[in-house]
Amino acid sequence: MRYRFLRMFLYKQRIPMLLSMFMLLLSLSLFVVTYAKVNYLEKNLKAFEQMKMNNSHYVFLSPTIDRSAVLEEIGTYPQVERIITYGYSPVILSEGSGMAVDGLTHRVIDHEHLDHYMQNLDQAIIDKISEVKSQNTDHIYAIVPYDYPMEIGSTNLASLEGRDLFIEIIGRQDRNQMNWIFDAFGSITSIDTILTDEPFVYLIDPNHTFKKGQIDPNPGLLIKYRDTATGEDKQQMIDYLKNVGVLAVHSSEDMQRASEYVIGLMTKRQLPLPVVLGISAFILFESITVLRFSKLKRRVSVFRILGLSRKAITLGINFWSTATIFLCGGIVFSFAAYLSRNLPNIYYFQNMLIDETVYLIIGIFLVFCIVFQLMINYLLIRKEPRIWLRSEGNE
Amino acid sequence: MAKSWSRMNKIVLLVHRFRAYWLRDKILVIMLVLANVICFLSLFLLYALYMPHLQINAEDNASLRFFSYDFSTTSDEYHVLFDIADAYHVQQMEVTGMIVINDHEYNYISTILCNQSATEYTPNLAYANLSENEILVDPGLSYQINETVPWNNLSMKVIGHTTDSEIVLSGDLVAKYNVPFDHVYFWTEEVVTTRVSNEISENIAQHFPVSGSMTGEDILTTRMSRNQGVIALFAIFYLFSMISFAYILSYMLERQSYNHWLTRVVGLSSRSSLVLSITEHLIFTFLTYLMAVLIHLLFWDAFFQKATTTGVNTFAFYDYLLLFFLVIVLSLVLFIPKYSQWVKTPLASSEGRVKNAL
Repeated sequence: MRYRFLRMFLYKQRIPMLLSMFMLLLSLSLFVVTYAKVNYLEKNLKAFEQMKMNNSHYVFLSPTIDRSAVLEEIGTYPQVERIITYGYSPVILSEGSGMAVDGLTHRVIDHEHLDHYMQNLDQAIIDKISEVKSQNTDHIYAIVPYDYPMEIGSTNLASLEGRDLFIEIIGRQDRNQMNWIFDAFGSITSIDTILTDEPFVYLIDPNHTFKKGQIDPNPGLLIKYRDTATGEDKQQMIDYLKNVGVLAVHSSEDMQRASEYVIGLMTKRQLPLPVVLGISAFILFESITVLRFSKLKRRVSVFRILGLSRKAITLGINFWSTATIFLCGGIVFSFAAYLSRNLPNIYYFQNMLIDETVYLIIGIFLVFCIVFQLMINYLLIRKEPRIWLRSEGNE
Repeated sequence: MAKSWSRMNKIVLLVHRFRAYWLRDKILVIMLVLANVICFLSLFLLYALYMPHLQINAEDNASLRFFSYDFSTTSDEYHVLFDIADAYHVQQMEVTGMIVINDHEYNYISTILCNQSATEYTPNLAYANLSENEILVDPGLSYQINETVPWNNLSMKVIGHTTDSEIVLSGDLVAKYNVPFDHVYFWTEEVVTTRVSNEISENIAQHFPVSGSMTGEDILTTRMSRNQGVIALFAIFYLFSMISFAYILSYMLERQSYNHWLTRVVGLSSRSSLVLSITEHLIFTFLTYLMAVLIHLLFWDAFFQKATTTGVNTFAFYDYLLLFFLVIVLSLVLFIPKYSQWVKTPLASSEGRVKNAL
């Protein structure tokens, strides 16, 4: 179909169409970035659920504890099925670096769970981790929060019980980006604390520098009980943990419930704005479909008199609105694809997961827009039989 | 001729116009009503989420229930704190201060009252309740688990570790032995009124040398000061939506142009025509707004309350009125120029008839 023919159907519609396109783009782009945050939390929670760690206790042992001995002891309890360990390091970065703040916790990533931690990271950081894993140096690598005045690539002197360590910054992220669930589980004691969580620095120790120094990271444990374990068995474990020094013991069910609660709050707080904007954009788009028809109906009569077929006219009426939706879809999909690969190095764009769910929701919305506008055009054409009948005799 | 258009005639004309819109453009009228109702419901949703005064009863209103007071000197008047806790339904209360153990001065924290709901908190299964002579210590201190620590002719037993403070004492202990404190903070069960909040602060100030304070009332006042900005955002959203209504409305008016032209020909003045158009607009907006309010009230429990964090039973009359006022002002600002332009079209112009004939 020629552009000259199609252009005839753009009569007095360029500005409204640009406006509706702008609204669609605005609402869909906002939806992508907002939903990606909710999606991130939901998928993390789902990933945790898939680990089938229900019927377990999440434990914070105090920093001075001998972790190896505790792990060995816990392993002898018949009610324990599986233990996952992770922990903090007592490493203190140099004064003036912005990290030597009393009370800060630094998490060392356990090799066993590195892949799990990495699942939602920025691709650039994942690439960097893969690169440093293959190097044989005494360096330690860190991913630090945006709050810290530390640039990627800079090296910071740290002390670990009097020993000097070099920590190279390979990435920056939101406070809880790497694995929200574990972080949240470690810190949900109330809604307020999850929303104002303590910052974490993730230390990547490819060459076991900490172990070479005979210093164990302070452990956190996830103890999975056998299905046959009774309440008494679990209490026995809590009593043992209290005896060796424990900061807190939480049940995984409580934490999952708290996580779901926080995700629900976030969804309610952040999603309505893009959803409402999306509805507004949808109404605007469909209204413009009506406008298009009102502007075109006299032209259509003329086209009919000039001998254009009904099929060609129907195609012409629907062409630009459909093209607008396809163009919007293309731009939004490209934007989402770009974001999923290159999350900007700024705070707002953190904690996001753009995957097939996001594309699917946008796709369904756009298809709905197209179907609805085709339906409206069909109804309007049926309402105006004179448009078609006027030139019946010429056919 | 113009004077023959009595008020009754105008009412009849108004009814006739509505009837004509419905008979001629059923689909468009339904679409316009739906668009309006959806827009109003969206406005209600945004209003419930972002207006500070509705966040008072929100699920996550802990910051608005919060009271914190620093004292310039220490105090040991626990009975005052308990009186306040009783009188104002305090959910949780904590005190901090310094305690001397073995000639060393340590920071301590103590929870003297805790009625937290299990929905909001994940309980620590290890130390849900400390007995009177049990303490938790910072792992960095030299005390060992199960070690006995002498204090004030008492033997306190270290039963675990904490990172909250150097020492965690039980609420029973600090209250019984009047351990001096220099800071207290607490959460009430519900957000209290300004009067009650001031009353609490005055009560505290009467008994303690307050050197600094922060209350939920202060936080709410700060949020309320941003009200105008929030309402301006609603206005922008509504204006965007109105643009889309304008297209449908213009089309419908255009389709009725012949009838309007005819009423002008038989003597309706331009001014009356303008007033009638505006009245028509007001009635339509009011009716659709009423529909939205009814839907909002009917489905509040089933949907709208669940979709927001607001815990109120429903909107107050004031909330609906404020939004209606906003909606009416904005829509009139947007549509009056259009109506004026329309009624000013010279009668001699045959545009209306020609358009309609086509």
